[in-house]
Amino acid sequence: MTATQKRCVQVLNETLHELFASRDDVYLFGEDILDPYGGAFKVTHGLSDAYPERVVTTPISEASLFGVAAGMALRGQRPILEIMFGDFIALGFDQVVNGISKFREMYDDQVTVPLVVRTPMGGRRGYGPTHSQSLEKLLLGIPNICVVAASECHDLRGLLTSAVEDERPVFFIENKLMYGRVNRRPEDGQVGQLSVRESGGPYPALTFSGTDFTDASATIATYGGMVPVVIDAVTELILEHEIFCEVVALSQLLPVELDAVLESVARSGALVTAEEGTLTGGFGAEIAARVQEAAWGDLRAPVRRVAARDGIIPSARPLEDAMLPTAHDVVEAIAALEGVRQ
Amino acid sequence: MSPATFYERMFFIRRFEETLLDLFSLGKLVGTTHTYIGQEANAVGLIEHLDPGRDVVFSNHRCHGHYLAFTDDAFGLLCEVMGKAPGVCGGKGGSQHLCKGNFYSNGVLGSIVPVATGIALAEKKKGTGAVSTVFLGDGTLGEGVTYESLNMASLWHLPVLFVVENNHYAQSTPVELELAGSISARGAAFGVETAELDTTDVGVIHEAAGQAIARIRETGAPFFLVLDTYRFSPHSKSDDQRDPAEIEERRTRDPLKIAGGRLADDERGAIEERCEQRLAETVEAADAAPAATPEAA
Amino acid sequence: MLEIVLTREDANTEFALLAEWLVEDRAEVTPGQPVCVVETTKATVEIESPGAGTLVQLYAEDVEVELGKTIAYVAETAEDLASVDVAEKEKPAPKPALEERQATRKATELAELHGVDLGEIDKRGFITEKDVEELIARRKASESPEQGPVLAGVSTDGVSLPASFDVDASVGALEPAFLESLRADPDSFRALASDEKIRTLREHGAHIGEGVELGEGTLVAAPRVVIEDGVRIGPRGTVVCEEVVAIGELTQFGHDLELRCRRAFLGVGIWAGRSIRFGGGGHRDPWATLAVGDLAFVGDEAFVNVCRPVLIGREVFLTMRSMIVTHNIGHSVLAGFENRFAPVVLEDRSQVGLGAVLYAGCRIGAGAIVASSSYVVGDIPAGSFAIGVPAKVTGSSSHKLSDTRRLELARRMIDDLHELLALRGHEVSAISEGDPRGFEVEGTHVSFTPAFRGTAAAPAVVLTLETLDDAPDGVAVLDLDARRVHGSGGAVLESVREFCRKRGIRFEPGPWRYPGGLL
Repeated sequence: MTATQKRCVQVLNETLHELFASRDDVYLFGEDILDPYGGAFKVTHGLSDAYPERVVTTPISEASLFGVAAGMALRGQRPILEIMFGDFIALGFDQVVNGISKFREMYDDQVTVPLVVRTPMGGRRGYGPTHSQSLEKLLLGIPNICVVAASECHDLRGLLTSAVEDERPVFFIENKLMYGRVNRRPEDGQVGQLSVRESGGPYPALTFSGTDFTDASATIATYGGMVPVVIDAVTELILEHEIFCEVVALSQLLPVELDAVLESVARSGALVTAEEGTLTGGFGAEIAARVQEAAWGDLRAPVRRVAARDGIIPSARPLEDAMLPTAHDVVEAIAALEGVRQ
Repeated sequence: MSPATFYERMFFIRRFEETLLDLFSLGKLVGTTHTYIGQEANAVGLIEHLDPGRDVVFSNHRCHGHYLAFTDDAFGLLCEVMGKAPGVCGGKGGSQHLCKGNFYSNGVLGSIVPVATGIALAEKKKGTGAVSTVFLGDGTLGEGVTYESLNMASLWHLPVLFVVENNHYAQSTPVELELAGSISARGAAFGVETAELDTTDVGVIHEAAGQAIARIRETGAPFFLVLDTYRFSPHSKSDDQRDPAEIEERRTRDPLKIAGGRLADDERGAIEERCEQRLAETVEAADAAPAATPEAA
Repeated sequence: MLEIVLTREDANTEFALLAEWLVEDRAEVTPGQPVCVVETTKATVEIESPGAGTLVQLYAEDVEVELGKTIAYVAETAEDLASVDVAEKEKPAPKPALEERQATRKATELAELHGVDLGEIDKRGFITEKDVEELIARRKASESPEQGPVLAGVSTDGVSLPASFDVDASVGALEPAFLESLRADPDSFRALASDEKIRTLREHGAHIGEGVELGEGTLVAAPRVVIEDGVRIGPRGTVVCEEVVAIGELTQFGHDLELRCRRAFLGVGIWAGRSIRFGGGGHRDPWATLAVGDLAFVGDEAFVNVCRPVLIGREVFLTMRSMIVTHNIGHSVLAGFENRFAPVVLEDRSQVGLGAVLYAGCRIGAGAIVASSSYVVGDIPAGSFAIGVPAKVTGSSSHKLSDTRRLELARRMIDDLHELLALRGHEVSAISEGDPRGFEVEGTHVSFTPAFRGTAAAPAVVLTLETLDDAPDGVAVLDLDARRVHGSGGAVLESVREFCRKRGIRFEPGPWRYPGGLL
């Protein structure tokens, strides 16, 4: 880790401090966010001391907190709601489905709801069935919201700033393992030995290539906590087998924006999706459907999906490991594609 | 406000909704509608104390009365309910999902209470002095978020007026089958100042609501106002299983009768004629308005 | 021994940053002295030493450490510190993280095969097999064509090649017509007695030393034949090379040797058993070079395929039935099957256990041990112990002994030798204590002294760890540390040499084994 590299939690925390300093309409709501505790994952550390009027520690009332944030947003403020564990968004679904996502369109554009829900998803920490899930796929079927997934390779400062400045409601999906890791930004167009291209827009996609985008056997579309897992898989395929695949690490999951994926598939001719959420009705299903609609002619093999098994995430480590998708699963999915040499 | 004005507002709301039921029968309304017939005194008496340029109202599925009392926008509402382009939400919201200025409504019970709480917090932080009024019914008290909101509003001293219009029925279920304990004690349990009225007299409601709102403006803290009421019309359309005798008994306490009884016959007649004429013009204009159509893709 | 553990105090934090060491590794620390700075997501804290002693750091600065791990020891005594050192040494070298590797496995293997330094490839991104192939092609194009494929670019680091490897090209050239006749009618040569074979070879240009024995039915044929003094090849052997065979003095092979390759350079004092086979598929390939270092051991029925260079270093043990292959055999490369031709290198003093198989391209580091029946497909680092299929490093091949322990082991050899001789029926005196400490056998005094200072009554055989003076006449001094013999002696000396050999101590000069001694 060099001096210029910071851990993700630090970048997110600094960005929040910057946003609070530069805008007086930004508010933070959440459980246990007051200093000195500073939030379960410490992302909000120092904010309540610096901005006591705009940092509100709340009762354990997620179902209502989504509504409170909506009310703030309807009245022109920029609330950020921290949900301690992503699993708890389920408590707020009525507000999301019947209010937050609908107000703007059903009120004929008379209002906007510029709120941000920040929450960590993901397992691999032994927290068990209700504190380890990756539930963002449940949000993908809700029109008029934005779902943004941060990864350790993305510009976290840019993503979070864009989310707060967005007029749409934004779910900003973080990852528990990401917090402690270094924010590995591309340096001179590279992360490690992989070349990286960054798409435009407020929530860019990162495309990684081991051949400087000249050649690829497959494209792996992924996001969030699976990004380092997939990069490990792709690196292993290159180093051990000289099989070169591109990785498209999306940050904007909704509205679905597939330019980067389609561009990569045009080079590679095959697609694997990788997500930590359960398989059925997931991110991969949506991406697969859209890519085959848009680029059937580019595909030489059926799209394959790597995801968690359709079940609970057990607490015991060996059981959890068996449930969640690994780099090995990604390698196997690629090896199983038509036309990829094992 | 004069008794004549109270009567005129209540009468217009009454006739507007009766007209809606007629139009519904003629197939001119889209979807469904939940009328407020019998409860008009609550909206008119209370909203008189609110400043539409500053205060905020969040209403529920049974929102026409609140909407008309707060905005007086009959044409926008009628077009909205009829699926016409000039509807206040362009025909997208329909009967239950209205928004104009500081008025909002939404169709999921309980869902609106935390939003109104958040609105109060925003207004408090902005220092506008606005009161955020949210209309609940006895049925809404079955929703858990109502209590989370009461807790937060009390905890954070938010200017929320929780108005429970207890019309004794949650759709078709009588209150005795859906609610235990005391309604007003629910507010008190959270340390929220509470008042409870058993009247359909708009004047009494006006006075009590005035005191409640004045308390909020004075203390910045929430208020829990319980209004005993009754709707004469069905929950929406043709879904009324109540005992006709019970409805008849309540009709003796029709708020329009009480308010109208205070006026001379000719004054009352003039008001009614004025309202009928305005309503007829509104219906004619709405009928002639273009239907809401999808934007060209 | 005290441990400094990064305790986990918060359920949502799994890693902390070890930001800075405040105390150098192996420095003395006092109780309560701050030794390092650790950053968690929550706070930056100084960690204090739990006691007094020597700080042993287990992590570098600026690294993420999983909470719950021990980051340092405080060794309170010298023994603690020594045990830490041993434990540290036995740890296998950490595998580099995926993200730190630039060259693919194929590229790395190809580069090793051709002795290419990957640092020569200046490239952004991954270095692939293709990059290495291109570099090799460029290098070939620029190299002078006369550079032969003797070593095909294989690195000789860690390998002491036998002196015969550099044998003068003018020595031992057979007359072409004679070579032709040998090749056309080998049976006539095989039928000759050993002396006649040697005489015939010498007459036609071969260099054959004194005391050489070429067993019954044995054939030696090569354009150049250089066989030094005392070499023995048992009955029914075949030594046929395309270019040269050069064998150092005192090297011995048992019966049924088969040695076929392009070039064979065998060192001095090699001990080899029976039914050993060098060659196999591709033995006539341009790169089929065999070099076996001095004092190497090749066990019975060993098989060494030589189609690419096979370099066996000094004092290597290639034990019974072990196998080395320099190429595989299989289906079409165009169908994606592996097609491998690669050298095998056993660096000095490495050991290959019974029945182990070394696959093309592997390199056994100096002093490393491959356990019996292992299958080696990659490199085994120097000094390590590898076992399994495929072989994995599980520890180190030896451990460092203290001087006290070495002295104790050396001293005990006198007792063991004394007991062995007695049990074999030899008349031995009681051990006389003192320095030197020893006993009489067959009229010779056998003793051990930690350091030999030139005084001993002949005839005597003296074992020592340090030779400070010359041996007088009739006294043989065996320096166990330097593994040299000074002076001379009879059957007793040879017995002691043989006794030491069985403890892995082989002396120079002299042959591998002394079968004729008292033992």
